[in-house]
Amino acid sequence: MISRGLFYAFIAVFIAGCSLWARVDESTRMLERDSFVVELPMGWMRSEALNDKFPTTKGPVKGERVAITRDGLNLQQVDVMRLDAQNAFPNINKPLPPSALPFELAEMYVADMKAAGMEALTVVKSEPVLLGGEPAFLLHVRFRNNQGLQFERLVYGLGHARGLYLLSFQAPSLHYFPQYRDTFDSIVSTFKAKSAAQVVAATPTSR
Amino acid sequence: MTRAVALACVAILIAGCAVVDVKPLESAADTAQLVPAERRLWSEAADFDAAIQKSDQVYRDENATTYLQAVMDRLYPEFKGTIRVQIVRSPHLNAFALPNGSIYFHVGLLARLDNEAQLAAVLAHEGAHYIKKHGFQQRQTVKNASAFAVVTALAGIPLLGDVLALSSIYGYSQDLEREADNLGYERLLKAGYDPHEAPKTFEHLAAEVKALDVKEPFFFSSHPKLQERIESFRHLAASQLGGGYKHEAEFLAATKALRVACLESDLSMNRYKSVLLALERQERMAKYPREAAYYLGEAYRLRAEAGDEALAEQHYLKAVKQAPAFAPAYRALGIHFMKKKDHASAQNYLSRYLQLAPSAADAAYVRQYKELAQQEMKKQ
Repeated sequence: MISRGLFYAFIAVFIAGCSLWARVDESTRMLERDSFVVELPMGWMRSEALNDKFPTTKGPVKGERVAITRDGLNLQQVDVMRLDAQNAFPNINKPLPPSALPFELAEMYVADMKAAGMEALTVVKSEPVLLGGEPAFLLHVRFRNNQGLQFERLVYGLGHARGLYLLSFQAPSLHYFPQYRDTFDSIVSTFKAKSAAQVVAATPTSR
Repeated sequence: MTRAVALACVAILIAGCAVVDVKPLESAADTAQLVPAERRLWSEAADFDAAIQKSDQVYRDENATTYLQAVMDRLYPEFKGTIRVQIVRSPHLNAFALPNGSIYFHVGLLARLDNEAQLAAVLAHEGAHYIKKHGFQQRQTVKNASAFAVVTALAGIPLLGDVLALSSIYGYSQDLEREADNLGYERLLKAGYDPHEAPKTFEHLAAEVKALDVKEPFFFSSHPKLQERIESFRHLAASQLGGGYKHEAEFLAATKALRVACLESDLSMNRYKSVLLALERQERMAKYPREAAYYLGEAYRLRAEAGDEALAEQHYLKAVKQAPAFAPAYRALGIHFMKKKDHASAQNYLSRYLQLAPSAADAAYVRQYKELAQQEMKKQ
């Protein structure tokens, strides 16, 4: 029989391990990080625990990250992140090539996802776009989880002097992906990468 | 605990299992008389089958699957209909049998074999695990299943986290593996295959594991276990004269699409070393379709060492010459020349790509790069 003390210790450990979530409101809607600015949708939840953590098959890597969801990460997840150039593709051990075309970055991103265990993913579309006014890639991929549920992911990727910027949206194909795609597009339209010495105005520009 | 430590624990737990007296299957009819514990194991295996079907992991190539099934049925004719072979969309060197007769063969392993006799060597070995009920035997002898479950979880094993997955995918004890070698070998001979191809199968897998420094934990990518198979099959084949069939042409025809898909899959995962190993030797390249030079060019591009750019260009050009209707080689040349600032050549090749593949998933990039090349030409 488990003792009362041990029981409370378990509870304390459990609570400490839980993610902290904060609702996005008027005061936190505009998010300015060290290397980017982005406007988050009101009423969504922002995970504090996932900030700047990049678990990979090769261990954690450095960068900046903001993860948000409305109903739970399994139902819709938007990540805005910057990975250091050295760790841009951590699962295939490749840095960000300085002169890579967006097409090549998209190819490397897919390789990195596959190396992370998503071997059966399908690329639905890969096309050139502008992200924050700079040439980037847009990938649309589809995959199934271990329970057979089909997910879709949209990823904008930008190779930059400060590293690899990735804006991704992932949701089950059924209902959630089409339902929140516009919200993701709105988030993307407010994104702006910051150069190293840049002092960015509070209002981000459109892409 | 690291994955390596976890897998070492798994190996120790498996090695500690003794052979127990379980009556092997003699025909398909015996599968109707399973004891309750075995029935439960079959039910777990059926769950695994269902999960793998739902997860998009099955490689759907009817021609190749039917061919593999025919080879299996030739090896174990009395179990026709109960041993079912499927191909898994994975580049890893692996094949495994579940206790219910489902055999899973990974594309990565299949693409590295040379002929039907080598394929039969692996299938005969896996079929023997089923006939001899090795999954059930291992389950009976593992006393500490919960320890197994913990270790399995730490090893990050997908889909199934228990003894069944471990034994089937990571291999059985040395005694059970040897028993599978012996029965498999008997079946190879009985079906008329050249027995000397069996050790070759494992020899060249071992060479590949060493050359690529493969760290995958699977049975057919474990160097010590491959070494055991080589020794075991060399010993078995020592008293046999040559002869028997290899069926190389049949194997290459049935697996043609699959072997190309494996090159694509390896490249899409940045596993260029595997592609170099598969295609750098002329005699191996000759077993692939004419456009294979493109994949070798891509492998050089991804390796990106000194001189690789020139090698990539050389092989893209070779692919265009040998397979003029194969679009990807034109795109590769277009981008290659764009980076070299040879905008006229870039525009030519990119235009040709768009003619051949106007609705390709990456056509928007190619259109954009073609326009850029045109603009640069106007500036000059």
